[in-house]
Amino acid sequence: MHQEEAKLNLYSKMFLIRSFEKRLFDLFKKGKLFGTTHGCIGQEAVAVSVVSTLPKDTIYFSNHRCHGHFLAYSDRPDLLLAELMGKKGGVCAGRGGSQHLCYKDFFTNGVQGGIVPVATGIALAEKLKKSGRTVCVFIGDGTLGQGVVYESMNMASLWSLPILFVLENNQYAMSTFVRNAVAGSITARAEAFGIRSWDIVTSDVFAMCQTVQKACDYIAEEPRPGFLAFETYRFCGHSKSDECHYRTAAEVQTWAEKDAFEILQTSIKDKGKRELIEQQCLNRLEEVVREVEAMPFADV
Amino acid sequence: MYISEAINKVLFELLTTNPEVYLMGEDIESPYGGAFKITKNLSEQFKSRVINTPISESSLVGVASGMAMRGLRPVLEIMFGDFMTLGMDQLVNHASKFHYMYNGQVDVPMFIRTPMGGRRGYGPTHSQTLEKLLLGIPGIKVLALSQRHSFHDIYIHAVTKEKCPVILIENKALYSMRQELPENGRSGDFFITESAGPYPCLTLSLNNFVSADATVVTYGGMLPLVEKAATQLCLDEEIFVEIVVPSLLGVPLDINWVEASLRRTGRLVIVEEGTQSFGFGSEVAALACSKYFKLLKYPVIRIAAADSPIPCARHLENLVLPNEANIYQELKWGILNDS
Amino acid sequence: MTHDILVPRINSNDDSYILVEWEFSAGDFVKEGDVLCVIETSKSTFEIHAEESGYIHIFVHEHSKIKEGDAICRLSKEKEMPLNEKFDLSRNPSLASDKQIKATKKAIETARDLGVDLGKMMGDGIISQKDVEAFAQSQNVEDKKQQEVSFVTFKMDRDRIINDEFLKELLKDLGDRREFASLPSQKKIEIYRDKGALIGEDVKFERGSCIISQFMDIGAGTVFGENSVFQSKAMKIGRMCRFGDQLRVASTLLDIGDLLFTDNGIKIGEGGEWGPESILKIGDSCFIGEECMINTSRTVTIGNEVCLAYGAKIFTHNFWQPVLDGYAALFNPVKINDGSVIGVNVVIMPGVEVGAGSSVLTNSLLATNVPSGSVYAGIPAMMIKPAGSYPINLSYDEREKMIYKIFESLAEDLSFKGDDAQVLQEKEGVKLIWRNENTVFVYRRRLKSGDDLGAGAFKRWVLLTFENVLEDLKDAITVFDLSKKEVNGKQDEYSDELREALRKRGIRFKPILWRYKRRAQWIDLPMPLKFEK
Repeated sequence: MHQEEAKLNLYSKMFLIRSFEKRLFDLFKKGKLFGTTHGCIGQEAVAVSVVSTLPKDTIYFSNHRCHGHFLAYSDRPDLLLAELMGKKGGVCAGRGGSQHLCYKDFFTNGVQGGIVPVATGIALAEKLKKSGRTVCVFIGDGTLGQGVVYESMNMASLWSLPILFVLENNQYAMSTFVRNAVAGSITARAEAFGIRSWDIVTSDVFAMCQTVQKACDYIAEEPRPGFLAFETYRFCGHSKSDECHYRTAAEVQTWAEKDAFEILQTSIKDKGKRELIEQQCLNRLEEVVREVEAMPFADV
Repeated sequence: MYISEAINKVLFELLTTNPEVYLMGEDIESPYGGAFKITKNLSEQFKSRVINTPISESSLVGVASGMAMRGLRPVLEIMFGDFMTLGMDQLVNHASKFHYMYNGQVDVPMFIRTPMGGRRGYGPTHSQTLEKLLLGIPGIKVLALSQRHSFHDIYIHAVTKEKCPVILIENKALYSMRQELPENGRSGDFFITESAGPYPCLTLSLNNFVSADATVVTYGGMLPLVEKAATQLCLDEEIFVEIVVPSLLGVPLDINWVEASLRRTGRLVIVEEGTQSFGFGSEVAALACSKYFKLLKYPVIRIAAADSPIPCARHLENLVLPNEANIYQELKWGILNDS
Repeated sequence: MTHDILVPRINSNDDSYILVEWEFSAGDFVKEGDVLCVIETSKSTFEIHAEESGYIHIFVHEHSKIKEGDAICRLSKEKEMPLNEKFDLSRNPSLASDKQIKATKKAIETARDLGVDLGKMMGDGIISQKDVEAFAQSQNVEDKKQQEVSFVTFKMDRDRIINDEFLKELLKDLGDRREFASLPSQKKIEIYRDKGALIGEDVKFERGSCIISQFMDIGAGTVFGENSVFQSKAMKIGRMCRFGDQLRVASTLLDIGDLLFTDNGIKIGEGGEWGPESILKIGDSCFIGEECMINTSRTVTIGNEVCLAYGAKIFTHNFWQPVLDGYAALFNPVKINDGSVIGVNVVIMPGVEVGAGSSVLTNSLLATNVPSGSVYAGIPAMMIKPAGSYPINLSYDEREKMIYKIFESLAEDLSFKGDDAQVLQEKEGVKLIWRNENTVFVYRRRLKSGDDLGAGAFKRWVLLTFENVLEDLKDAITVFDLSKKEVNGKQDEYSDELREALRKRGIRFKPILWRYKRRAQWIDLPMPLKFEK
């Protein structure tokens, strides 16, 4: 029962993310959205497992592919959509757009790797303030090319900062396959700095949550930094305009079978409840779309 | 007192009176006390708040901004201003933008202090004056102090009162000079007026502003050289110039402080240690042309470093960097030929 | 090739010297051996010579302090000093720290030309050429001011001011007791001198007279008449002045030259006499007749040999009716230049200037300027004779005719007294022999040595001439030089006879060694007067 409820809980969150992202593509096609977006379809499990497991007062720094993280953190699709549409109610009043979000203690920026030092600085501040809070920074496989990531890991370990590096290896940095951009082992990088790291290669959301919890406990103890390397896949393009010619349908199919979202979906015993959740979510989204469309544009 | 001492003192004061101030930088802890000894002895008193960092300028600027976002007031030393380039991404794409793109939800009151300037024979990558790279970034403040600005007052204000990232350019050559603050409007041979506000702009005259042939705008470590040239011009030729020395260089630049002097002289000269093209002088000239066109009677003169790397050997360095002799020469030629 | 010249050790007791003067300017070509500059030590000056030729580059300004070893200049084959050398203070560390007089090149040159000592200039900052010029100007003005004031405070030190207490006492005394005024003259003089006044020998204060003044400088031989009160902030009165009785003189500043003769009852002051421009300046050898009035509301300047005849009145202010109703108010100085005559009862209005050698005739009302050498008369005074009418350049013949007449008149006077006096017209001039006194008066147009002045061994020769070239005067000879108006040689009652005769014709000589006695002197007449029926 407890498990079921937990499942439904996680599922509703993941469903919100997937539906929202799909809806965005749809709105783009209808010409109702301006700019671009970096969809996270297929990576919802990472977002949800990390954000629901880490303490509520964790400070997050995410990257350009942040919608999943944002929705998992805030549960405010209206703020996000309004931001994307440049509306008054947008989380940054239209100034940030898709990649540059700030909501309570949730920040994102669109420059690869650059967020890592900032997150490290935040962790340093929290440690100096003795607040006991943790910082979580989301990076991708491509981010491993940036030097500042390593500088930050060096300092995080040197100064024993309460920071969790969460790497979402969705196999592609834009169009570049991970093996063509990242040499050696991913987790070994963190370990080289004395940062405890965990590989998470699973489609089971709960398994993910467990590992996250382990990392979390470890981090909070001393504190010490921690590193999580998730294996995942994005089913949409890198960005709106990406038609994914760089990967084969077969590959996509292989990963689709491992899609944590679908697996969770299937594992839910109570179909009715599941559908209800889905319907509620979709209705909510429609409501949001209507609301946001009616909003005035953001002030100058 | 020597300027290096003055900075050391004010950092001490900041650490004493503001618990959220943290000093960070490479080799700043005792006993070394910093490459230029500016932070000497500070870590002894404030062990936990004077943090020695690894050599990671690129991320350090980010770390400092993260700290600033969380309510601390980090004072980051970038050992040589030349290394500011490493921190550019953090400055341009993160720290300077957070406040704006997050719609004001966050402030980044980060303070970077870094020495720029040559004349110490440190060679091409340790002698540059790179303000112009910073002055292009919206959302930050760039300060540069001369020996006649109060390091104490300005530091305190910039570190504790500003909400945006502040980069304060120190000039290496000034470290071994004394603070020469004006008293009752006088200092040495000069008559000095100061504008109001936390970042005063000084105007210097050798004849109490009776008249002058040129308004020479300069800042920071160039002031002693311009003063020498101006004094020699006065003694040799009775050519008087007024020297205008702002402390806040941008961003953006507001040149209202030059108006009064320009009204008297009609001739604008800008002297800077950075390279000429697209520099501080260009901005001042452009602003003057649009804002004070009617006051200008002669072409604007820019005296700056040549668009070249800075050689190490002193005699070669002298050919690239502006010094008293060529400031004197350019001023004299400019004034005598264009009158 | 360049050669820096360093300050040598000049003596062993000074740690610094002063570079007083450069003999060359920067960029001049200097030859080996030339004196380059003068250095002053505490004891003496020292010259620095060029050890070789070259163009001189000067490092140190004039009036700078220098030390042994400082580089003061460079001799170079190059005319222009390289710019970066200009700024290199390291060669002379002593200069960097000393507070010297900072002046621009132009200022230093101008100061040299105008004779201004830069060290005397006050104010801070770098001295420019304009500053030097302004200073020089103010110096001149200062000097002028000094000069004007110095007439009155001539040779006065600060501690020769007469103190306030004494002056207050004098004023009080003037009011009720008149004790001081009644003191004997010698006593008064002693007291004045004691209190700080500068009073020459043979000065006399007759009964009832006194002076109330902060600065007093009275020349030898001056006599103050009875019951006169002189009141002034500062006064300088020359030698052998003679002031009449019952005078009331009041003015902020009195500056009176030598030999002023005033009669009784004159009033100087008369309203508004204490302003900053209440100055009375009188030259030498003037005459002010009885009952004259000079109002010193504004400056009255009277030149040399001016006569203000009986009852002349000079006004320097004129107001009564309100200006706001369109009436006029005048305050203007008056000037009377050398050798003029202001006739009896003439009234001079404010602002008038009377030119030299002119005459304003009796009873005139003078409201306009009078050009020199003219004659004005009338109410209002109009020109009678135009400018330049006088002096008239009479010929020697005409003058000699007059001189003959003067000698004749003198002979008559002497005869009247009962003496034997005879005038002779000679080829070379005129001669008057005064047998009783064995004195001869001789006029010659031109005197020269070896002149045979006539027969007879006279006791006294009194000579009158236009051209005196006598080289040395024997004891018995007096010469009156008509061109220079000078008298040379012995002066006594014999020479005085001629002198007086000439004086009565407006010809006055210097020096004067006597004054009229105070009281009229009866002359003992040897025979009774004869009246024509």
